[in-house]
Amino acid sequence: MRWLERLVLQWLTRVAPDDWSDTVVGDLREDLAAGGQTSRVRMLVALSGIGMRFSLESISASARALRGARRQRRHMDSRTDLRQAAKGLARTPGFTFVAVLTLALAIGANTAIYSALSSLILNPLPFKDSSRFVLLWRHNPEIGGLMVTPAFEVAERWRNAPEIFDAVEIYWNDDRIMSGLGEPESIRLTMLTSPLLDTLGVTPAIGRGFVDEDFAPSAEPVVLISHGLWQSRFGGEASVLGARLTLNESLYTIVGVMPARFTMPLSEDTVWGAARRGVDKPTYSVVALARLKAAVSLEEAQSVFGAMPAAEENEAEGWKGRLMPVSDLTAQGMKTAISVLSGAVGLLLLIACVNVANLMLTRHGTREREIALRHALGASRVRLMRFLVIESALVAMLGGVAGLAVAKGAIAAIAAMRPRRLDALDRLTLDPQALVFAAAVSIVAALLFGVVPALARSRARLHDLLKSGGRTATAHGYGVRRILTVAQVALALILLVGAGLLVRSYGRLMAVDLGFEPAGVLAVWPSLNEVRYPTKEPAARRAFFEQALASIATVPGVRSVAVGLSIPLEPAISFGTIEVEGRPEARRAGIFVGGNVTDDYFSALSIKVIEGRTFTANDHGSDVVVLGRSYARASWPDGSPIGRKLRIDEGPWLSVIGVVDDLKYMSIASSQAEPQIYRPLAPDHINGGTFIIKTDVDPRALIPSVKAAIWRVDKDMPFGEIVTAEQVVSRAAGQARFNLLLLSAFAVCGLALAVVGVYGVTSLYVGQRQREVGIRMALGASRGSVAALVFRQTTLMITAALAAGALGAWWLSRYLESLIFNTATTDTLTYAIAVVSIALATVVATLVPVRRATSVDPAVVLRAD
Amino acid sequence: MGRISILGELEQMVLLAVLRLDDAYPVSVRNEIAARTGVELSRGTIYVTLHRLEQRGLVASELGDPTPERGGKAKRCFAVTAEGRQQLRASRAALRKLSAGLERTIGG
Repeated sequence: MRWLERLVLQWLTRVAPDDWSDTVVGDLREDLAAGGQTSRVRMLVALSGIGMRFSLESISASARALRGARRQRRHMDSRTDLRQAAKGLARTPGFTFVAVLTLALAIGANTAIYSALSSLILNPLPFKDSSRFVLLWRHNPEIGGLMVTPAFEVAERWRNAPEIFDAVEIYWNDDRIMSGLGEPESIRLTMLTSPLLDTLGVTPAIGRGFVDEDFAPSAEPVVLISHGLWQSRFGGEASVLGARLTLNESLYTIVGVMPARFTMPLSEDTVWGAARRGVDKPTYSVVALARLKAAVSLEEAQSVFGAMPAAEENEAEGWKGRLMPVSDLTAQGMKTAISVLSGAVGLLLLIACVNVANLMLTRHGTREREIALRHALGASRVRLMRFLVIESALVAMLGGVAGLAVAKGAIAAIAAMRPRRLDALDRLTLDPQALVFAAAVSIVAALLFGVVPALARSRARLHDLLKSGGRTATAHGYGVRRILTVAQVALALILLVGAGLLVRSYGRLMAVDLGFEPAGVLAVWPSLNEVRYPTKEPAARRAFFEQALASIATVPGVRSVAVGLSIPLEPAISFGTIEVEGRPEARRAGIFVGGNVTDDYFSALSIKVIEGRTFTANDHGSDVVVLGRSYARASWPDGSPIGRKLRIDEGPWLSVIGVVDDLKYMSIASSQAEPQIYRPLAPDHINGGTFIIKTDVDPRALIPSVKAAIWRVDKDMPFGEIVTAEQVVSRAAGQARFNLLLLSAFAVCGLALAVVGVYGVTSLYVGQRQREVGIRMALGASRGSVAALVFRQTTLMITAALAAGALGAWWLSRYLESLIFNTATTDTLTYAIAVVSIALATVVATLVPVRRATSVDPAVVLRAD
Repeated sequence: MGRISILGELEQMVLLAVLRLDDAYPVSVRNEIAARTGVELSRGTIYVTLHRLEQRGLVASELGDPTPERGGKAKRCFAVTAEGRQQLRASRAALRKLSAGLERTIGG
């Protein structure tokens, strides 16, 4: 047993800390003796137990130490990799710049467009659940599908449809003159009939919303004002609450301020009032806004609502109810444009991904030997992988940050150039989801193409690479890169063709004969208030217009001034049944344009007289009419319309005295002309309208003196709007311009990225062939033949790309059909220009590497071996 | 170790026992714990715990005089360091804070 005892003691000495074993033995002796157990076996068992605990302790301690050390080393490795990657990127500023720029463009453009998309389609209005709100219209399929807002009584009836609607809210607009706060201003007041804001989930920025008591007949009149009005007229101070607002010379108490940019659908309003029951009534029709029940689909609601009575008193049958999602209001006619734009920006993203992939392949291609070498020197694959991922992630991160900046700029640009109908874009903000998506796609592309191929090759070709001296190092990536470049150039061509078609279409739109001359024309909308100028007793109105016409005519620079119902492209439409004498089949009901105009209307707008004459002072009050050309021809296809007769809504028969050119009234692109019917208007019988002023000078310069001339008649007269006719035309083309600018921007970016791609792949080709080129030149090949060698390669690639791109463009451009005007989607010139531009751009991109190849000194290249 | 960590229950028991004893060495520590709490710790546990505490600077040891009943072997005597007292205080305070208000729930 002694030997066993010695063995255990030796073991204990080893596992116990320094010189503890002695004291342990002493302890045991003392302890066991005290307990009366002195047997050697007890001693041995106890010693072994203690030894066991010590050895377990030392094992777990060294495991802990090992874990700590490894963690620290890994941490240090990552930091070294990060530092190295950053250094590497800084050493190749060209690569870094292009890669980051590419990512930034793609991420930025995509984020901006998808943010616009989501603000227009998904969240068009600043309401809670705005997608569930619908507008209720009256619709008459017999009269050209006309949709009109309902009268109050009709809208009231619609409230009884609890099976499809949660709530139906009725409101109406009134233009009022706001006075007592500096220059009088015409503002739009919306009268609400219920505490509607609760339904919309909108709370005032300060103050309170309306409560039921505000709608009682005896209630004190209260209003909410817009954030803009609060800022501009009340300096944004809280004392606005309880202040009085004078509208049409009545006082309203301000109880709250709405959040910035809040407006009711169809309203463009700045003040909201509570309509007191039985006291405040609508002058014209009302807007009915309903919220669909959660379980009801739009189609179901439409079928129920379509069967509800929609006819007004004394009205023929044929009127039906029609629902329109409020989102249609903002995106009306924009859906195609938006899907085309998002498709285009998607293509841009694709091009960018290809570019990044290409760049990454080049980078790792040229470093393949370095990677293989590191591998050979013992760097683990995990370690190499980590380095490549860190590098790609660093590029992606820089691209993401720059992309965020691009997105912000692009969003500001989109909001600034938004067409008038897309006012919702005013609220455009960056959509984080869109940013994340675009960034994720580009980053995945960078990683996928950047890391995986480099690693795969580093293993497979290690031996060859080291042996070859790096000469063939990049040959492998070349094929992939050529395919990627072909794809890229093809995509760029598609974008370019799309943009080209829009450019052609826009050019044609601008060249359209409007039927009138917008140059040198100013349009002024005065706002007559109901208190001073009641509609029911028009004497005051007539006096105002007569005097104002005379006063404006005296302004130096004014050639002539007229009053019309409206100016073309900002149409005021009329509605009625027109009958043609002797031709009952030509009877039609629906909208028509034109209206009552003073004698100078045609000359002020330089409208061409086709036949007969326009109005003179002798015509005032007589039953005569001037017609637009198309309508005159349609009504009397067999001969001159002069002297023929028609009547409107069973009024007196009107004889035609003249025919004038058709005007573009509703839109520049509209091909179908609405009936254009003008009636004479005597200067002393004008109840309302727009001043149309023809000037000899820049019309904008005359705005102050025209205002002053009107203020000489009524010093408090506010103006609805003062614009030049050219501004009106430009506004009407706003949508087309918006599409054009965006798509062109994408096309330019796409082209630039494709050029970078071609440049990259050609440089690579040239770089690989440097030795071959050197030998050829040493053997007497001319620079020209070397250049031809390179060009042959590029030409093949570009030709394939252009063929694919033209095919793609031809296939995709049909989606542009509804966006372009008078232009075929197969417009040869557009395709030709796009193809030539790409070809030229790629030739330029090839020239640089070719120059480098041909300026090579053969001796240097050959000596490099 | 700048940061205060909560001591394990075993460590607290050993530290407290060392504090109570004038002559604290593994045998007396083990006996003290057994006498006061009825918990019989294995000898190995006592050694390993003391060793850990010493490595962390919470106790310090010196060799005492050899005695006949120990077969002439020296004795390793332990004392709690200032750092040890500090950690003990922090750990007990943490437990006290956590159990405050729970007297009726957990009893005592």
